[in-house]
Amino acid sequence: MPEEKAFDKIPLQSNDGSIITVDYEVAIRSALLSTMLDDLKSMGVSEIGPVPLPNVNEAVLRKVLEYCEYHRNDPLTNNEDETENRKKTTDISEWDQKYMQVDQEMLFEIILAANYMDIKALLDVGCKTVANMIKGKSPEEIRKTFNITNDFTPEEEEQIRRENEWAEDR
Amino acid sequence: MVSLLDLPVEIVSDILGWVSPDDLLSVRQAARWLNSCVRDNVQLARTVYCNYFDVPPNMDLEWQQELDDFLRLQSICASDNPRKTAQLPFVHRTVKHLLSNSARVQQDDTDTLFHHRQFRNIEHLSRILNTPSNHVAFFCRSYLFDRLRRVWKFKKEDRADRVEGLERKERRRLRRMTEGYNDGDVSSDTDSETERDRIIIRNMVAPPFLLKPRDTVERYQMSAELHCLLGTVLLVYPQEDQNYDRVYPYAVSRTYDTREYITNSEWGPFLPGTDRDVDWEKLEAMLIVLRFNIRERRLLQFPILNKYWNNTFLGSYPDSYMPMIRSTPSQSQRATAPTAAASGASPPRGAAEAAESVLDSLSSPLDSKDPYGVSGTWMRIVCFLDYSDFSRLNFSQRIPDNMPHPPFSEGEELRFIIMKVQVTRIDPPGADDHPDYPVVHFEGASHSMDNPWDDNSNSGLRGVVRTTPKGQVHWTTFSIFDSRVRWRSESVQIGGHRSGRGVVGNWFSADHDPQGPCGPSAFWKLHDKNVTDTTPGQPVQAFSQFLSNTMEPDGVNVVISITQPLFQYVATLSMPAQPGEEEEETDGDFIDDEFEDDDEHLYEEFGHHFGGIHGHPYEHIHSHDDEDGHDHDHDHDHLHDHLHDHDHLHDHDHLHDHDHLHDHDHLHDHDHDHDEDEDDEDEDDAFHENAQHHLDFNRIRSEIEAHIYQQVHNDPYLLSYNVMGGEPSGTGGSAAGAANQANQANHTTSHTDNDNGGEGSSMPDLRLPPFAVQASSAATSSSTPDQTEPESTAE
Repeated sequence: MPEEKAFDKIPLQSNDGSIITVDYEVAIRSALLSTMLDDLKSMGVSEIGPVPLPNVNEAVLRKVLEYCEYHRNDPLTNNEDETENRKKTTDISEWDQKYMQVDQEMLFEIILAANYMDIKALLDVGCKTVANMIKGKSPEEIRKTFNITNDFTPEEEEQIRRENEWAEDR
Repeated sequence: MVSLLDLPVEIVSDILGWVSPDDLLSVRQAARWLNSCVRDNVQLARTVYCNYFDVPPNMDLEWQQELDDFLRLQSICASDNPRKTAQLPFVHRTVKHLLSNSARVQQDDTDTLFHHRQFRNIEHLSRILNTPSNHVAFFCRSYLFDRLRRVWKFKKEDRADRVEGLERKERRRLRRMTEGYNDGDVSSDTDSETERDRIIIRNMVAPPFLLKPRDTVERYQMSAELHCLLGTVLLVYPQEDQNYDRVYPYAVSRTYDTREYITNSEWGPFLPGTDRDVDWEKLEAMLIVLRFNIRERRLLQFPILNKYWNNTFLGSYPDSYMPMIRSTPSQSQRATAPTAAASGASPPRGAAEAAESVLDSLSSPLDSKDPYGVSGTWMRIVCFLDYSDFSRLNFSQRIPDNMPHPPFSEGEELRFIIMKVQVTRIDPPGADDHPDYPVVHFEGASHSMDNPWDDNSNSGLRGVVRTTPKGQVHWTTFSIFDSRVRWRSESVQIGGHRSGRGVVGNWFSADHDPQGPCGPSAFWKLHDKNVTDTTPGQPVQAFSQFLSNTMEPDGVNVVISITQPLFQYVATLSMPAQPGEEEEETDGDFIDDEFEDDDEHLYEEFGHHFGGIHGHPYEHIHSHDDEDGHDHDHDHDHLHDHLHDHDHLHDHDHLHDHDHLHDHDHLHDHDHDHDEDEDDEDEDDAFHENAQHHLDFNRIRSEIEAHIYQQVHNDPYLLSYNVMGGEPSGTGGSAAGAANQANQANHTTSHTDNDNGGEGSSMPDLRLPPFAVQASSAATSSSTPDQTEPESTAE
C-alpha cells in the first residue's frame, strides 16, 4: 500500500505546544490516531502537519508514547473481538508493572490520556493497576489511599454493610 | 490535581470491574459518590461477576442479586456462630446455583483431567465452605449425622455404656408394639428406663420419615445433597469437644439394608413414592462407604481417583467431565482409519472385527445424538459385604420396618473395574421421563482391574440412561454372564448431565431377590475414545496413565509400565499402612479407637466377637483367595503360586536376570516361622496373622519391583509411578536404581525358587490386555441385542 509510506512519521502536538514525532506503527496503537490516519488516507492526503492532542500535556504524552513504543509490535486487538468468553485476568506483565510505578496523579493522567486517545491495552493496564490498589482494603484504607474524605454518617456506612452481610441475630 | 473522584464514571466502572465483590462493598462505603457509581450499576455488577467467577453458560442473570447472594453466603460461612445452620436452605440454594453456573467444558476444549483451566466458582466455594464450622453447620445435617450426634450426646454425658443397652431395649419395645411380640419379661426392661431415656432413644433410633416434621426431612435431604456435591465426603464428624466420630458404621448399616430396596423406590437411590426424586441421604451414605473403602486401601494416591474424590466440588455440575487424555490428531487418525471400514456397509463380521468395533469405533452417529456422553471408558468401584456379614446385618434380628440397623463395621470388599461402553440405541423419552431428554441404551464390557480372576467383575454389560422428570440423570446397568443378567444397578449422576463426578448408586441381584446381596457402586468417565491401542502385545497404555502422577510426595519414584495383571499387585501393595507410617490425612480423618470399642459392645448381642484385626486391610488378600476358590491354608505360598501361575505376570527369565533379587535369607526365615501356622485355626492370634500377611505383602512387593525392574529395560511405555513406603529417592530417570534401593531398604526379596514355575511361558502375551478377550465376548452378545433386550424390559 503506497499510502503507508506517506505516513511514515507522525508529528503529535501536546496541549502545551511540544511536538513529538513518532513512527506510524507507534501512533496507530491509539485507535483515535489510527482512525484519523485511515480517514486521511482514504481522502488521498499524503502529508500531515502536527496532530493536536488538546487533552494531553507533554509529560503525559511522552509517558504514553513510551508505552506505545514498547508495545509497537503487539498484535492489535480489535475491541469488538472481546467477548465475554475471553477469560480476563488481573495479571500485569512485568514491564507494564514497572511502567506503572508512577505517582497517583500521573497514573490517573495516563488513564485519562489512554481513554482519550483510545489505547485499549494501556487503559486496561491503568485500570488494573488502580484496581490492585483497592483490592483487600477496608473502606477507611481506600479513603486513605486515594485521599478521599468520608462524607457518610456512621449509620449510613453501617447500613451499606448490613445490606450484604448475614446478621447473626436475624 | 487529578484524583480518583475526578475520573469519569465510565472509567471508574472500568477500574471497579476488576475488583472482587467484597472490595466493591468496601468501595461503596468509602464515599457517597463512589456508592452512587456502584449502586444499581448493572453493567458493573456483570463485569465484576464475570471477572470474579466463571463466565456462566447462561448470561441472563440478575447480576446484582448474584453478587449480593455470594456476599451473604460468604458472611454466613465466615461466622462461627453455630446458629448459622438455620441458613441451610439459603446455603443449599446458593451453592447449587453457583455450581450450575460454573464454566462448561465443551467438546472442543482442551481441558483434560490433569491439565485444565481454573474453575473459579468451585474455587471460591471451596475456600469459603470447606471449613469445620461449615461442615458441621451444612454438610453434616442429614439423619445419618443426626444419629451420630445423639450417640455423642450420650457419650458426653458419660453414659456411653448405656447407649447400646437402651438402643437394644428400644428395639425390643418397638417390636413388641408393632408385632404384638412378647418375650414374657417386659417389666424388667422398662423398669430401669426413665421416660426421658425413652424419648431420647426414640429420637435417636427412629427413622426420619415417620417422626420428623416435613421441613426437618427436607433439611436432611438438602444437607445430604450438599455433602454429595462437595465430593470430599466427610468420614468423621467434628464434635463440639474437638473429638471426632466415625460415621462409616452408620453409613454401612443404611447402605446394605435390604429394606431400602423396595419396589416403589425402583430399588434405586430414590425416595419411595415419588417420580424418582433422588434420595440424597441414601447417596450420601453410599458415598461415605465408598470413600471409606477407597481411603482404607490408599487408592486416593492414584490421580484418577484423587481428582474427583479429593477435590471439593470438582465435577459436581453439568458438562464438568474432562477426559483423562484427549486423542492427539495422529491418534484419532489411527483410530478412525480401521473403523471407517467397520462402520461402513456392515458386512458380516468375525468376532475379532466385532470386538474392534466395540472398542474402536466410538465416533458413531449415535454418539452425536447422545446427551449423556455414554460412549467411552469408565472407571467403576463396587463394594460388597461378605455374605455372612451381610446376612447378619440384615437377617439375624428382627428390626421394625421404621428403625435403622445398628451401626455395622465389618470391613468390606472392593472391586476396581474398567467399563468400556458404547451407545447402541436412542429412544424418545418415556412417559415417566423428562420430555427434553432421550433414553439412551448402551452395551459394552467390564473388567476387574484389581482382581482379574473375579468372574463377578468380568462381564458383558448393558444399560440404559434416562432423565427423571426433575432433571436428574438416572442410570441402570446390567452385568451379563453367559448372556444371563446377574447383577443390576440403579444410580444417579451427581452433578447432572455429563458431570465429571460420575454416577453413584446401588447394585443388587437382577432377579430382585429381596434377600439377595446388594451394595454401593460408583462409576465415572475416563475418556471418550478408545485411546488404547488394543493390538495384542501392546501395553494397555491407558492403564499406565491411571497410575501415573501419584499424589503422595514421599515414597520412591520408579518407572513402570502397568500391565493389567500387574495392577492387582500394585493395588494390593498400596493397601496396608506400614507400621508407624502416617495415615493419609487429607481431611483430617482418623479412626476413633474409643468408638470402635463401643461398636464391639454393640455387637456382643449377636454373639459375635471382633478380633483385634477386624476390618484389617490385609483381609483382602484372604478374600482374593476365597473368591478364586482356592484353599487358603497357607496364604503365603498360595499367593506366591498365584503369582507364578499367572502367565501374564511372570517372566521369570527377567526376574532372574537381576542378582539383587536372589537374596532370600530374610524371607526364608519367615517361611520357617510360618510353617507352624499351617493349620490356621488360631483366629485370635492377631499378631501371627499380621506378621504372616506382612510377609506376603513384602513378597508381593518384591515381585512387583522385580517386574518393574525388567520392565524399565524392555518397555517403551515408561511412566513415572510412585511406590509408597520407601524413602524419597531417585526420579523417573534413575528408576531402576530406586526400585533396587527400595528392595534393600525394606529387606524384601523375591522368592523365586521355583524356576520352572512360569512354564507356560507364552511370554509374548505378557502385555495382552485382557480387554481384547473380554470385549469380543461382549461384542458377540451385542450383535444380538434383540435376544437380551426382553430381559431388561421384563425387570
